[in-house]
Amino acid sequence: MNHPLSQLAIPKTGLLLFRSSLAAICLLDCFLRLRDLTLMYSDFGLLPRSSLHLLLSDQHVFNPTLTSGHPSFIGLLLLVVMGLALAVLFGRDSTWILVCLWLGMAFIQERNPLVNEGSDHLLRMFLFGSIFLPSKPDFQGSRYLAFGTFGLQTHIMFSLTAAAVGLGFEEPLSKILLVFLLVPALGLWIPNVRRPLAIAALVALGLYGAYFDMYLAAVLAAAVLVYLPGQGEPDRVHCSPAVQSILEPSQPVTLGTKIFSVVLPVVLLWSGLVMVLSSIPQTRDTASSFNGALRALYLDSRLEASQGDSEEETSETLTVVSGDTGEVLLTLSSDEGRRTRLFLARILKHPELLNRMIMNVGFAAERPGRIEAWLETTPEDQGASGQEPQKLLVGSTNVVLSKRPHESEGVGI
Amino acid sequence: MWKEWLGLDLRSLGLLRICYGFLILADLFHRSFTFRAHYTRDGVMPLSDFLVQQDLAWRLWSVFYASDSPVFVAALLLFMGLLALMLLVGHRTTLVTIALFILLSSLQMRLPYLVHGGDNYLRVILFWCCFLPWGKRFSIDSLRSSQEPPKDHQAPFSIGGVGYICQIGILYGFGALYKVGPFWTVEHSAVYYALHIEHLTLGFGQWLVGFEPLFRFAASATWIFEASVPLLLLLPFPWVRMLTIFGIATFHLGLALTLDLQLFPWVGILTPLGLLPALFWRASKTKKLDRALTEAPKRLERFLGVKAGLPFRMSERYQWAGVWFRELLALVALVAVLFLTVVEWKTGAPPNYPFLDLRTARLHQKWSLYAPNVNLRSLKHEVKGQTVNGHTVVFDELGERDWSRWHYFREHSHKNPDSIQFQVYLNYVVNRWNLSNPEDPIAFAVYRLEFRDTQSEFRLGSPTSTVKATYFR
Repeated sequence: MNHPLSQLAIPKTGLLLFRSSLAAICLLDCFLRLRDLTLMYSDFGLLPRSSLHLLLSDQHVFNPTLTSGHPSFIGLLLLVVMGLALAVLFGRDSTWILVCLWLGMAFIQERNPLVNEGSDHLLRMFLFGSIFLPSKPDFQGSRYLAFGTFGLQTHIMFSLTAAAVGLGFEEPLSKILLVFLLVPALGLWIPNVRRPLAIAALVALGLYGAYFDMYLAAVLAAAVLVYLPGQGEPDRVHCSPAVQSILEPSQPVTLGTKIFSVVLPVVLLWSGLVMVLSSIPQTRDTASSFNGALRALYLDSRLEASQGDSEEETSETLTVVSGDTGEVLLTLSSDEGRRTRLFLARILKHPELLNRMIMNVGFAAERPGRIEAWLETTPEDQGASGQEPQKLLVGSTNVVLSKRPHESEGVGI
Repeated sequence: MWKEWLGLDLRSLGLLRICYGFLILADLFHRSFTFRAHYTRDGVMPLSDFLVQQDLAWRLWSVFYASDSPVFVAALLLFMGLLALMLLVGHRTTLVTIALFILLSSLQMRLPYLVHGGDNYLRVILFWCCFLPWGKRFSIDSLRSSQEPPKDHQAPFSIGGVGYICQIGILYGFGALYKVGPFWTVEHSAVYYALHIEHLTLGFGQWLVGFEPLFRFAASATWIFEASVPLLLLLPFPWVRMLTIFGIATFHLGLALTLDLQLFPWVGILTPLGLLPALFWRASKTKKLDRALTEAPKRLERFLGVKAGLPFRMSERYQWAGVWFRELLALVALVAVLFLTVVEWKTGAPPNYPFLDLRTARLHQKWSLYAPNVNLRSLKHEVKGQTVNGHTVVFDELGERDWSRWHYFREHSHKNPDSIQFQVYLNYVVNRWNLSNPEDPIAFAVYRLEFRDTQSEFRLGSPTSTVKATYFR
């Protein structure tokens, strides 16, 4: 096939590598989330469903993980998603499995948006994009061309650009990475230089992971793998029916395929643009207003969360104590991990959510009376600066343990 | 022998399915008028307030907890309507029944203060119907089925079928067992007092209030009838079963004519239809009904001009596993329901066994209809407010009796002295007023409740009025 569009085709090997890497990341992500199951994702933890609904009170979001607040329910869902990821990892990549994996990941991530990073959004956008690529049994050529492949490549370009721009221009390493990520982002469209540029991008992402954000680097690296062509195979491009209908207008094509062919690239383009806008501090507000419409469909993407939601120069520890006895009910430190740091930084900005969290900790520990939350801030280089740790009362609430009688049972007459 | 005793006719089950399809559609239609006020964030209890209650939040589940956005709630209700239509025409019946049970349970759990006995009865019967072959006749599934229906139209024996019969028996049997108060056993004044619950009594019921001797007979007859229904249903004589079903229908028709119990009498009338014996279908008129209902799915397909796909069937290799799983599940559910209902009746409190939690399975039930005594709560609700410009506002939704589910909301509030619902309701109506009249918002509002307690010997207590909630700007 000599049509110029055939240059946009994705190699089979790259596609398989891309899907397997995404599945492996999902598996690892779910496994890590399992550790914080009760604390982060259940009604016994820090963000009960009532708090989440308060947070979402101006958004139209439907999340089936809120059906129950019991940790076993979320645990079961996580295991199901892990099962789906395993299926994709071992080559069972049918469209339905990919749809379920995408939705499963999106629902679990949104169960606690306070711990989400930009890489979580990016992961689920790539999962969404992978739905529109062919499954393993459908593959007939060495490369594949569809609206999905075009959309995916556009999204990879925007993601690399957003990651590069988000680093800023201050540090020397940021400047080097900016070049090494921006050049592949634009150059990956040129067929003959794809392989070296992809390798350069992978090296740059290795550095990015080592110095900035390992998770985001891993997701981006999984996407860049799509450009690695297999060797020794005869080059034969296989086109999707929609693309075929453009190349050969006499070919019949259904209305659904036509609509789908237009909608998918538009969604991915929109989402990609919003992602780039959200990585620039000056355009972040504009981006979030565009994101609202995509959010209801779990197609919003932003990378800004990975870069600057929390202040890394200080170490923060939140302690929830019983005001009457002084008993420590919960300790949460930003040193415990990236997600905990994000959670702390974000919940401290929402006094009502913080108070509900304190109340929930009191309920879960069955400690009635006054419950207080203290925040201790310690500078990272405490020895050098000579600054003392600061301790502040950030919230308090009065817990009354009254199990309401369940009123739905019996005949209401 | 078991066929007369525990047998179920496929045609009767088909008829039951059609009636349940209509019932669920009617229920959804009724709820749709107030869906925004009851189930969304713009209503009386947004999920951010509702789920903060400790007991509810941690133990129970509902698909409607996934979102309280009006868009998604409306979409879910429409989806339920579509499923009810599919149940009505018998398309993919088993799958649809399971989905409807889950969604109906979810809808009821979204705001349990609106739930009444009819909802509970509908839900638990729908659970047992998940195990019944009620899509084998009068359905689109039957057109696609490769199996011929049995000549005697009998459904194969199943524990689910036993559960369905037992469930009807449980309603009436425990209804009688709970009626041990003096109003039922000594004075026989229970029906008299029941007809004095002013916000529930209909015109015919108010007219009947003048016939005092009738009430003594009615109270005794109700108790004897309820106590005998479980025994009568299990007798192996088709005539007795038919007469019992007729008796149940008459009893519930009486309730429907005298009291506004919403869905309850209609669920009560229609539910035993699945028990109609083969004898019923031998009469010439019912044969016509049989023919008409058998023809209906074919006509529907011709009218729509489409052919439905094959119903879901498990591969033959694994069918035995499916049957065993289904029967085992039904057996566990039946034993649990019988055991825990007896325990609750004996001890007077809901049993608390962590591994046998009927509330989570949405099968918990307590059929204490007007028992042990009739709590006479002739409630008059008055919610009045004054605007900043000095106008008095009487909020319109609080008439003595309305056809929406609001009065169950208020009934539940009254049962629980610590109820938050009065305040929640007051805040809701005031906020609604303030949103539509920003230039003249409410400055002060009060929720006043007037009720009468039960006396004895056909006497009524004097009205008492209390302030239940207040609002200040």
